[in-house]
Amino acid sequence: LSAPFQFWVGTGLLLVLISGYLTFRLFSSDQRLFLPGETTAGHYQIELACGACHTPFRGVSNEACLQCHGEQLKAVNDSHAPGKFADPRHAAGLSKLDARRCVSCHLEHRPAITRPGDVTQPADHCFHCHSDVVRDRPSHSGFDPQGCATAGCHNYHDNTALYEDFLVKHLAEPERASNRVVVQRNFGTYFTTRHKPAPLSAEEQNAPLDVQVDPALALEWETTAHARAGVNCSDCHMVADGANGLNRWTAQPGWQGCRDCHMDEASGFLAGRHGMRLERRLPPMSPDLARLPMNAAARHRELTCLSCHGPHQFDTRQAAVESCLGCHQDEHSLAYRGSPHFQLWEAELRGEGPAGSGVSCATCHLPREQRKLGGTDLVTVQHNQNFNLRPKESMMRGVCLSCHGLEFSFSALLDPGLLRNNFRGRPTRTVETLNMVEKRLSESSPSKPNPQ
Amino acid sequence: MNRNQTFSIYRRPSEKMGTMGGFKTRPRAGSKPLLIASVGVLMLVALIGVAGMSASWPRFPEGADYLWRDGFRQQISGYALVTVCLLALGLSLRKRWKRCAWGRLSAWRLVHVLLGCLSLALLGLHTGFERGRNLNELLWLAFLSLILFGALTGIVAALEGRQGRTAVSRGRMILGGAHLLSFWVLAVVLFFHILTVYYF
Repeated sequence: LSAPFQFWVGTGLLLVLISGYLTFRLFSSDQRLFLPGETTAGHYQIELACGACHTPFRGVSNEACLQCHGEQLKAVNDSHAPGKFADPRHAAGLSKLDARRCVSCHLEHRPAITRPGDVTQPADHCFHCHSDVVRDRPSHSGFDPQGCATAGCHNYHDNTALYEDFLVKHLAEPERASNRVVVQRNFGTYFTTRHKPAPLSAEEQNAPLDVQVDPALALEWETTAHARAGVNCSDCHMVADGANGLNRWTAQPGWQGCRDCHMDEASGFLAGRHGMRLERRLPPMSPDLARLPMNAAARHRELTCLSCHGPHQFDTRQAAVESCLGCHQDEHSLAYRGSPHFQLWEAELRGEGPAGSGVSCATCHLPREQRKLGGTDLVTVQHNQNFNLRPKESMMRGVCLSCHGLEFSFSALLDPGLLRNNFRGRPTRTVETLNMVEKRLSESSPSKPNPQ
Repeated sequence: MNRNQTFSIYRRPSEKMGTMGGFKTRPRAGSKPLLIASVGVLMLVALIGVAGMSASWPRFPEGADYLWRDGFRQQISGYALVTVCLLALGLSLRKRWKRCAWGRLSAWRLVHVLLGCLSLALLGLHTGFERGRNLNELLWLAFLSLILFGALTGIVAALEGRQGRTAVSRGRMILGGAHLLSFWVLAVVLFFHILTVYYF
C-alpha cells in the first residue's frame, strides 16, 4: 500500500471515530462535552440538565428562565418585566438592548464577560434608556454611569427595598427595634387544629411486623412534632411502588415523602441551591460539588431534607445552625460563632431570651414567611436561600428590619467587611442613597409613604 | 507519480543556491517572503496559544466585549473565519486541479500563509482570545495545530532546496501531512461546533 493511501485511510478512520464519538455524546444523557465555558454559580449545579434551559434549535427561551425565576420576579414586582416593553415608546431603547429577552443580559457559559449578578452587559447598560436621568434628577449629575446598579442605589429587577417611598418611611428608625423577635412557625398548630390528630406514643408505631424497629428510634420519634401530630411510621416509610401500584415499606424514604405534607418548604428547597439538582432529576447536591469552601469531612454528604433535619429527630434548632456549619466553612460561616447574632441564639436556647429572639443561620438565610391559608396566617420557612440573597438589599426588607432600623441595616449589608465577619462590629459608612433621600425630602414636601 | 513526489507541493525551480544541513540546495522563488510570513504566523500562534492558556493574559479593552455579547456578531466573525479558511484552500486546488494551475505557486503559497495569519486574527475576534472549554477547547486546539503545522511547513518549505531528498524535505512531508490531518480534524470538530451552536 502506498504512503498516501495509508495516510488517507488512516485519516478517514480517525475522522469516522471522532464523528461517531461526538454524535454519540450529542444524543447521550451526558452532554457535558458541549459545555462551551464555565457555567455561572447559579446554574452550574444543573449544567448537565441542558434541557432545563435549552430547547433544541430554539436556544434559551424566556419561559425556561421564568420556570425557575418567575416566582421570585413576580414576588418582587420586577421593575423591568418583559411585558413593560410592549409600549412602542421603548422601541429606540430596545434597538440597543432587547430587554424583552432574559439572554440579552444574562448569557450563560461566558465567564470572560460575566459580571456580578451574572450580568453580561456592561455596567453602564442603564444608559441605553435612561441617559436623560440627570435632566430629571439633577442630584445625579456627575455620577459614574457604571454605578447605577453597583453602588447600592438601583437594581434592574428587585427594587423592593430601594423605592424612595419605602426608604422615606423607614428613614428615622432607630438602630435596633424595641421588639426584636421573628414571627414563630405555626404549621404544627395549623395541622393539628385542622386535622385534630391524636398524639402517638412509641408503642403505637405502625411499622410492618417484619420490620425490626430500633426502640431508641421509636422513642426518639415519640418526642417529635410528627408523633404529636399523629404522623406514624407508615406515613413516611410506606411509598408507592410503581410496579404494582401498591405501597411498600422503604427504610430510607426520600424527600418526596416530606413534600406530601410540607409543600411550601419542599418547593423552596427544590428551587434553591440545596435541592435544585433533585428538581432536575440529577443526583443530590453534595459539598464535594460546591464552589464555596466546605468542610472536607462532609464532602460526600448528599443534600436532602434529612441531611439537615435528621431522620427521626426533626430538630429545627439543629437544622438552623449545626447542620449549616457542618458543611459550610467560608469566612462568613466560620465567623458566625463569634458574632452578636450567635450570642442571641445561645441566649434563646438557654431560655434567657424570648422565642424568636435568637438569630441563627436560618433566621437570615431561610427566613419565615406569612401567608393566608384557609383563613389562617400560616408561617412557614422559605427554604430557597437564594430568595433573599441577591441583590443584597433584598434581605433587608424581610429579615434585617425585623430587628434593626433601615439605615443601620442598609449600611451593614453594603459593608463587605461586616459581611465577611458576620456583622461583628458596626458599619463604617453611611449609604449615600439615604443622604440623598433625606436631602430630597427636606427640599420638597414629604412623599406619601408607599403601603408596600 | 512515485511515492516521494506525492506530497510535494513544489514544482517550479528557483534561481539562487544555498547550503542547508550540509546539502547543496537552491532556494525556491519567493522563499524569503514565505519564510518571513511563516515565522510571523508561528509567532502569532505562540501568542494566541499563550493568551488562551493564561488566565491573566490581558484581553481586549473594556467595551470591546460587545463582539461576544451578541450571537449575531459572533456568527459574523465565525463565518468570516470559515470563509477565510475556505479561501486558503485555494492552494490545495492550485496544486491538485489543473484548471486552477495559473499564477506562480510561490504567490499562492504566500497568500495561503497570509490567509492563515488573517484567520488567527479572526480567531481572536471570535473567541476573545479565550480557549473555551470542552468541544470549543478542542476546536481551538485543532485550529492552532492546523496553523502551527502550516507555519512550520512554510518555514521548512522556504528552507528546502529544489534538488535532492534531504532531511528537510522529509521533515516538510511529515509536517505537511500533519497540516493536512489537522485540517480534516478541524473540519469535523468545526461541523459539530456549528451544529451545537444552533442545537443548544
